[in-house]
Amino acid sequence: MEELIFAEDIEKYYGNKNNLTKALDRVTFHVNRGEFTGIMGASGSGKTTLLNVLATVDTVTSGHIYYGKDDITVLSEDQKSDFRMENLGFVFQDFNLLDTLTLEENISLAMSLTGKGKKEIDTHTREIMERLGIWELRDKFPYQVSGGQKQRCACARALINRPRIIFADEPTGALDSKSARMLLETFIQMNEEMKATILMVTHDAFSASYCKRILFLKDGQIFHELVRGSQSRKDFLNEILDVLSVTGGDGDVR
Amino acid sequence: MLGKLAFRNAKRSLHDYFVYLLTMILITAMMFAFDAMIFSEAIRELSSQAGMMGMMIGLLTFFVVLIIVWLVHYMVKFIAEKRSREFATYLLLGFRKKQVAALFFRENVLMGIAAFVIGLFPGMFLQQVITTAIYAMLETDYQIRFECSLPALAMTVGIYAGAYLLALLRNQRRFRKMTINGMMNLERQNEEIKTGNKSGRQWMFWASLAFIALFGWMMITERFNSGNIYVMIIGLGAAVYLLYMGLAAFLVAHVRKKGAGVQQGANIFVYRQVASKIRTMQFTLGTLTLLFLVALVGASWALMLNQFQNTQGDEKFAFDVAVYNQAADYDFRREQELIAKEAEPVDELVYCVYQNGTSDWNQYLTEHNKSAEEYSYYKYDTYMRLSDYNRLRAMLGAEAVNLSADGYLLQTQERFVKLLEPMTEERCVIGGKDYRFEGIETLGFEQGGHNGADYVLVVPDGAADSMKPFYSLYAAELSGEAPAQLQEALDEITIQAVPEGEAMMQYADMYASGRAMGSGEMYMSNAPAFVRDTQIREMKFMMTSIIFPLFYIGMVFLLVAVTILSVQQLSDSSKYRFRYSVLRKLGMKKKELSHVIFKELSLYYLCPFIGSILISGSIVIYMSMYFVTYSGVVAPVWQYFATALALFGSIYLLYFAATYVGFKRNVYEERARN
Repeated sequence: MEELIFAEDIEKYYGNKNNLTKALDRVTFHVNRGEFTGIMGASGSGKTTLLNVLATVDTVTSGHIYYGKDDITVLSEDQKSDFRMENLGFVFQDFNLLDTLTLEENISLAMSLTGKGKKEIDTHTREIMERLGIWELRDKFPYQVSGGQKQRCACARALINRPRIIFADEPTGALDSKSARMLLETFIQMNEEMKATILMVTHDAFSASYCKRILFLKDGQIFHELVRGSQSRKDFLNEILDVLSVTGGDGDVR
Repeated sequence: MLGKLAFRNAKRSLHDYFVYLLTMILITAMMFAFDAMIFSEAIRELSSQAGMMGMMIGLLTFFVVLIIVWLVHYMVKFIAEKRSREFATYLLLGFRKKQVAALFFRENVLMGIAAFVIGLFPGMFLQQVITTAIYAMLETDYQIRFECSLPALAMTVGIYAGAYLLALLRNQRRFRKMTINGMMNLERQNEEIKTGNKSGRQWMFWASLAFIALFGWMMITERFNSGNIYVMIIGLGAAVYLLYMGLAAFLVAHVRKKGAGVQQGANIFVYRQVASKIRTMQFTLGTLTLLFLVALVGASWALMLNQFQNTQGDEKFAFDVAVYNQAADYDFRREQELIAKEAEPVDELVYCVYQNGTSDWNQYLTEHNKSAEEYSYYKYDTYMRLSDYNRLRAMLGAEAVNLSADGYLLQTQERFVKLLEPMTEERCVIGGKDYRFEGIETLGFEQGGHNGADYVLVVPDGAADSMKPFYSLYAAELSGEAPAQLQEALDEITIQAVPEGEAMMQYADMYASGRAMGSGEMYMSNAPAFVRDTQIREMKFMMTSIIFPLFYIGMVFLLVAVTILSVQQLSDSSKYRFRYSVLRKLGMKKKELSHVIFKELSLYYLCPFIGSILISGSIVIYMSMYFVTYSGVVAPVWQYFATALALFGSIYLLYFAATYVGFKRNVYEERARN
């Protein structure tokens, strides 16, 4: 499988000389194109930091992150903006939708920034919204729809520019269990039908069981990796829970 | 798309920060109205002193600009912080920082333009109100004429845009330094600061209270001098800031000790809320207190001057026309001819003020009257013939007075009665003969150098005959109003009448000319001729040129301060809704919750207001004590402050009420939605 991201020996320190926190401690791993990867770990294990540095939201203290041949740790601010626009999509726990725009506008804004034509934007926005089942809600504002619908809108926005990878940070955190399940189904749909590569950070074992591969983080280091392979989701969930019970993680099952 | 986004965001901000918009509208209106005063034909027609008002407004505009820059900068920063997550989202979508900054800049400019355009209309209306008020104060008819003065518009646009851009540019710099991660976490950081248990700073509360008390004590006991006053004023400013640092600690300590009232109802919640708010807002609260202070002192001062101009006309310019000449034998024929030609004199009198070669009264006044200067009194004590005095009284419509052959009376102003009492017990010897004191008269009698300076001693005609004429005077009573050009025509004659070489000196060096002016320092004139109507109008106009700009700056400061308080609270009410919903879940009734909100808001609103009332109150009372001494206006000292307080307090209350209603709406609306 084609390699998409290669993180090489990355470190991220916070604080000063006297009080140094190693959020990421010499982490090395790769993500392949078309993968649905999960990152699990207890609070403070460094999973969100890892996602942030991969997504150019935060910088590394040392090490390199390659997208293909491009090292994103050496990009300037403006280059990072362009990189995010062309390559990345985001789905957050609290949706991060713009409340002054309708759902449709929230999605099309991301595409209009790339300078695409109106027709292409309209067609593509409609196509994505229909696929995710929110076309009927296109004229509603974020505060007029449910959490699950908001999150599907966020997914559509993340997908609109056909990014190389979608980052999801605790995407089910603010959803009820039914909406969470629907969102995870959507992720599967995005991954399998639209061939989207997804990297999801979660501390919830149930959500993680939808992934194809899981990296377990502890004290800033990767200490375990699980691959679902051909086993059922239920078996995979049990396997995840086993790992968590060994590490004393705070994972929960909905 | 971006234009649409900027427009929608601006629209949302207008809704979210309505109070801010309202204040900017009001400030624009006031700015335009006052700037228009500078260029107004109507004002220029009114007085030769029109430039004075322009100068005052120009001077205060500087401070207004400073405060607008502060308000806009504060609000822009505040809104940017509240929306930090949204900005982070833009960046994640691939916006460049420059684009986000430009978007936010565009939104703010849209908001600014909206406030400005809306503000112009009430501004034009306000301009008419102020012009009418000024005309009314000067008892002149004014025909309302709506005019949109282009220079005023240009000036207002210039100042407004300048202040706005300055504030926005400062914010742009901040923007450049922000990172996505920083923006994402900004909200959380705000909250972290707010929770705190530190009570070690209590000493600051007590120390600053002690300093403020010391300041008050030094002021009342007149211990300020040029050496310590600046240090003390800087110290007062610092004490105000320290007060709030200490107050938060004090409240926390009170809660932790479970002091009085803490465990009663939801008080613990209220105290904690207020303490954490004060802790994060201590610098702003300090600044707000100082703003209120300036507003209150400014408005009180304006009221004092208003009282002065309403009451002092009769005292200072009692006669329709009065002319002074330093020569005792001056012939007023030319003046009389002029007045007969220009106006209709009903009664007139040429008379003298006498001197006895003594200066006991003047010396006593120079030593004991705090407001006396070297040019306040004549070289000799001043006396007046009883028959002249009674003629002058008759002109003023007062009854004649009687004196025994060996009696004298004191004609002075109300404010000198107490001061001069000891002198009435001294011997009064004229031509080797003793005269008895027979009473005090306090009729308004033009005693700023004409009929004596501050006082004149009225003696029987026989006694006056034995004295030397000191200087000569002319007084006339006219039928109807004095023509506008009379003063000028009189001035021409009277200045010529002064011996050559002395004319210049008379204006350049008041003391050298021998002309005294009395000690009313609020408004003095050493002109030889007074035409009452013209003088009163000039005096009133001069006072008006100070009064209106003072109110202007007071209002602007007040509006800025209440806006910041209100916006802070309203945005908190949305941000911390959950706290109130927790209280509801704990079993609190809606009415009780409203009560908690009321209590919390009142405490928070009272903080800067009480502080500034205490400090400005003592400053104003001190000032008005001096004002009474210097101006001769007899009024209770607290009256000006109470009026200013009532006026500004009601504006404060209005904003408080609006905030309370908005706060409750935010809290309950969300509950309904949940």
